[in-house]
Amino acid sequence: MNTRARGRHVEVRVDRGLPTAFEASTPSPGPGELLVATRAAALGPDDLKAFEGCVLSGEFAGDVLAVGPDVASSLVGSAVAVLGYRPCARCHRCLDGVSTACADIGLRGRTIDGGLSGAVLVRTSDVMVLPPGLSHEQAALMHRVASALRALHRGPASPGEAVAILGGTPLALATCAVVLAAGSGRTAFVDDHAGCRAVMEHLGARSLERPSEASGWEDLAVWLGGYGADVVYECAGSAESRLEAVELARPAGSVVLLAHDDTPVTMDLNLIVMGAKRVRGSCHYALSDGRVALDLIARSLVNAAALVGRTVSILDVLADPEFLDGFTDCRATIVQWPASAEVNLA
Amino acid sequence: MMLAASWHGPKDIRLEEIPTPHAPTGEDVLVEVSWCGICGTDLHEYLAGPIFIPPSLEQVVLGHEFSARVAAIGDRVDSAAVGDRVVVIPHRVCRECHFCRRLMFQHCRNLELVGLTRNGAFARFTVARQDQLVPLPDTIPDEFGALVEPLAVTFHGMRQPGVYPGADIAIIGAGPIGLSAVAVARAVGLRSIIVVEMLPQRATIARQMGADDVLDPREVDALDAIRGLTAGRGADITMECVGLSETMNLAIRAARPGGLALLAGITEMPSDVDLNTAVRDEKEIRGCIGYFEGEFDAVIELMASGRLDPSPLISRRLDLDRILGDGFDSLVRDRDSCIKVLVSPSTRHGAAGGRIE
Ligand SMILES: [Zn+2]
Ligand SMILES: [Zn+2]
Ligand SMILES: [Zn+2]
Repeated sequence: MNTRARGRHVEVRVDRGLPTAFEASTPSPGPGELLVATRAAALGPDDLKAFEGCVLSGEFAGDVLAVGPDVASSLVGSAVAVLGYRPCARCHRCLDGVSTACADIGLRGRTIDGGLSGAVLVRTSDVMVLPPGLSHEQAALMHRVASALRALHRGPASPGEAVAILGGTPLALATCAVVLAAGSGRTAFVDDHAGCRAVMEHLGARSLERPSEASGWEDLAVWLGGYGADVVYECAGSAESRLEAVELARPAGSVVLLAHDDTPVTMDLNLIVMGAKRVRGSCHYALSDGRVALDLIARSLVNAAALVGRTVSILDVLADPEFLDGFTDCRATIVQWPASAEVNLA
Repeated sequence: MMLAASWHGPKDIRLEEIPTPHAPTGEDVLVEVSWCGICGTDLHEYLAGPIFIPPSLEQVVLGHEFSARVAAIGDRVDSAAVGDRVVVIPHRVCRECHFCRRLMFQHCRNLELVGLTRNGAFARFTVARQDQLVPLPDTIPDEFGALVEPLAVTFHGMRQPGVYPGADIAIIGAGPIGLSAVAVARAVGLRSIIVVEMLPQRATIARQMGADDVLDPREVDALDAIRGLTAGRGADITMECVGLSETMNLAIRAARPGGLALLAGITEMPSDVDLNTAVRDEKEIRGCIGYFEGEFDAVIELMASGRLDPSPLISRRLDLDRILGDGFDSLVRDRDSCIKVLVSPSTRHGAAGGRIE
């Protein structure tokens, strides 16, 4: 039975912590809006931390099904990637052009509905048309690659500079791929998760467990160039890891903080002051970062394939709701939502 | 022999006769000190040292912010002559280590600091290497020369990427470094200068030196007030010049999204730092210490051009023999009115004598 023909579609929401399919009536796009049928989404175990009832996935690409009354109809049928967050477009930060710091930001697939759905309503200002030759599956990686690019520019690591990446998260992996693509010198990855270390090692980073002794960190600092890393990308977000990041940066070096964590860090600030170190936050990405990310993936300048652990059908996810948990090495599960396949409700 | 103010331990600074330095050799220069300022660092050493002073040192003559005249030169000196009026950069770098070879002299692994790790300028004579000397033009008085070092610290902060003409800045704390920051921020063309300071005389001097608004954190919520003065955004740049956990967090929070928080204060204990505001709003927190080559000259140029008048910084001028009671103790007792105390060990200013051996 074809749900779409009946003006209805299937969407996958978090229900009691697990992905569950629901049927919903398909909205019509209003002014400035598009209706997108998702074709691929990147997912990981963290996606199940979404608000209860939220449509899953902040990382997705699809085809435009319909457009609002003031939107060019030529867009219908175009393949697009969608910004993983939704700025309010009204607060003074949005009006100042720093919409990544929007006071009322919605995170798709986390605090607002995401894209694992047969029909997603999005604003034209939040989509990017895919460059020729780029698949939906590749485009679903835009979000993490763009976030990593943003962090790279916040660093910024120049070619040849020594880089350390702390914390085994999907964003850490994307950062590793982007930093290596940008020509970093010695590149180290530190995390206790053996699976993540194997993936990073495969990408070309030296991977090691978190040293438990100060001497282990000192050895790493020496390997990185004598007095620490030129740039440290901190992706774990814990107070401990943030402190280790500041310590591992060389004098006058940089630390980029990519992970959110509200816990205050207790630290000797003289480490930053006397070391003349720079600590910068990097949060989300701009539409322009997203476009660059799509372009770099399309031209194979970033090793996007290394970011993917497995590719499955949406039907597999729905058949086994605990499916996502089984893959924790920081690579993405790409979920395909074939245009032809009808998603049946259980 | 000559009179000197030497550190012997915390709360133990002694006025004592010490041998006059030997005639200089190699690239070393003997200078006769004109004026030397008492720095917050000296006070830290006095109250809670040793901090920068090596623990192995039993005694050291303090004083690192000074102007001087060249009194004698070593046999390999080619860029200074007897009689030159100079300001001395306290950093004596090794020119060989990992950081010196990358021109990052302030991170020199073998850094020596005049007035902290080797004898300084609270004495009639001290020794520097010729590359530590910066010429002082005739138009600039010796007293102002002694203010170049603290001004260079804040000038270094104002030269960081992210600081640009037309930006607004919130300076937290109007002590010597905070007030220097006000003067330099004005001189380099920042637009709106907000100062957070609760002591009334310091607030008055901040206004004299160019602050547009001075907020008393006992009367207003400083964070709200800074946002109120910057159209709700927060300041483009904040600069922390106190060294307390609370003021460090204020500097980080009061910077606008995408803004820069410069931390210049030295803290005495670990702080609980709110780093997540830096992540969410993509702020940058940057440690600000020391200066680069050329920044002393740049400060001297700003003074010479009339764009920077440091005179409100000078609270008091003393002969060396009064440095303990009217210098160190006054600075500790009367933080409000005592900003920069300048000390002269030179006979030209009527203080203790000495002679070259
Ligand atoms: Zn907004
Ligand atoms: Zn000083
Ligand atoms: Zn050196």
